[in-house]
Amino acid sequence: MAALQLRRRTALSPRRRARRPRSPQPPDQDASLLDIIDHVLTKGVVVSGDVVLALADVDLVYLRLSALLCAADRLTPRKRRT
Amino acid sequence: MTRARQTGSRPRRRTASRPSATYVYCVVRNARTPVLGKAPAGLPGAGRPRPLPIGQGLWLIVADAPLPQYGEAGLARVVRDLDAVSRCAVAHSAVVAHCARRAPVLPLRLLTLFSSDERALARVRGRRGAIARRLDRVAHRAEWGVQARLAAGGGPSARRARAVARRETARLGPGTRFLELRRRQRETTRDLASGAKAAAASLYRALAGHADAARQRPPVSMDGRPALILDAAFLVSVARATQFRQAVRAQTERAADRGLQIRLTGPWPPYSFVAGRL
Repeated sequence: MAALQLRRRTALSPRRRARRPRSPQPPDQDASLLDIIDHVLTKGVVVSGDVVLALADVDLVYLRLSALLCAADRLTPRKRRT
Repeated sequence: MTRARQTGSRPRRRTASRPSATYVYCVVRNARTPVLGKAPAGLPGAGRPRPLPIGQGLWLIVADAPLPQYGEAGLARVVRDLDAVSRCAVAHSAVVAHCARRAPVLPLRLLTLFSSDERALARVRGRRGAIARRLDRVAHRAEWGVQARLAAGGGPSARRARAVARRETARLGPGTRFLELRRRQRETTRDLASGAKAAAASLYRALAGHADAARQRPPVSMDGRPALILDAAFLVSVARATQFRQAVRAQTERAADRGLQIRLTGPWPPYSFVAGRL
């Protein structure tokens, strides 16, 4: 997973949006990698799994990850590169 | 699809040769055994996704996660490595999205692991009632994300204000003009910020009217400046998805004039509307 993919995608131009099919699409097409990570890390049901619990505090792990993600968001350029 | 082998309807025994934990992607409600023949491969190094029966038409979608990679030490390595987390997140999201296109799901958070199928089942079996109720709330609905941020330069209304300011101060002396322009710029920025907040609030209200449920997350600020004016999720029935997207499009045009840039993501599995503990 290249660091390049970690940028937040800038808003799509109206033209690109118009060309998009209307039918439901998997979120992966419309969302950046950060959107996906944000969804699966910070949302969803928490079922206390025993392996993860063994890592001491689940929330601490998530805190560390979100700090990591914020750093990635800052470091990567906002503009699209080719 | 019909030829897909329906493996794993029964808890699996671990073999000593390849010790593994049970990774859980989501809970699915399906009258029959969910067929996962065409499901994405799932987490790196993990086995194929397979269903585990909870009972009463509920299934856990799980996979064998090898302990060297997903045991305590392995996980500690994974969570320190952003690329590894990204790969897991994308894989997790793909499996959940695959299931969500076919049946109502409760998506689980990334990296939910049990030491065995039995432990995973024991954990959710006593909570079938709560699971069913949560599924009822999100069944046949999808989540849409709407984010609004300040447009660069503040959008057309701010550009107009700057043009007016330049025109109206054209006859002033250079020093006075500089100070006057500075004063007006501060005013414009202040108006823009409060205008954007009001625009975001009315955007949220308008879109919530097309949704069965709506959630707002507190605005995130970066370097002291608000990065997002609005970070909202909407639970919209599949039947009303087109209507919702049209509403977003209409609001996008209106908000652009008020200096807001709007971004729509989705449809997502209902991650934001199942949050909590089971």
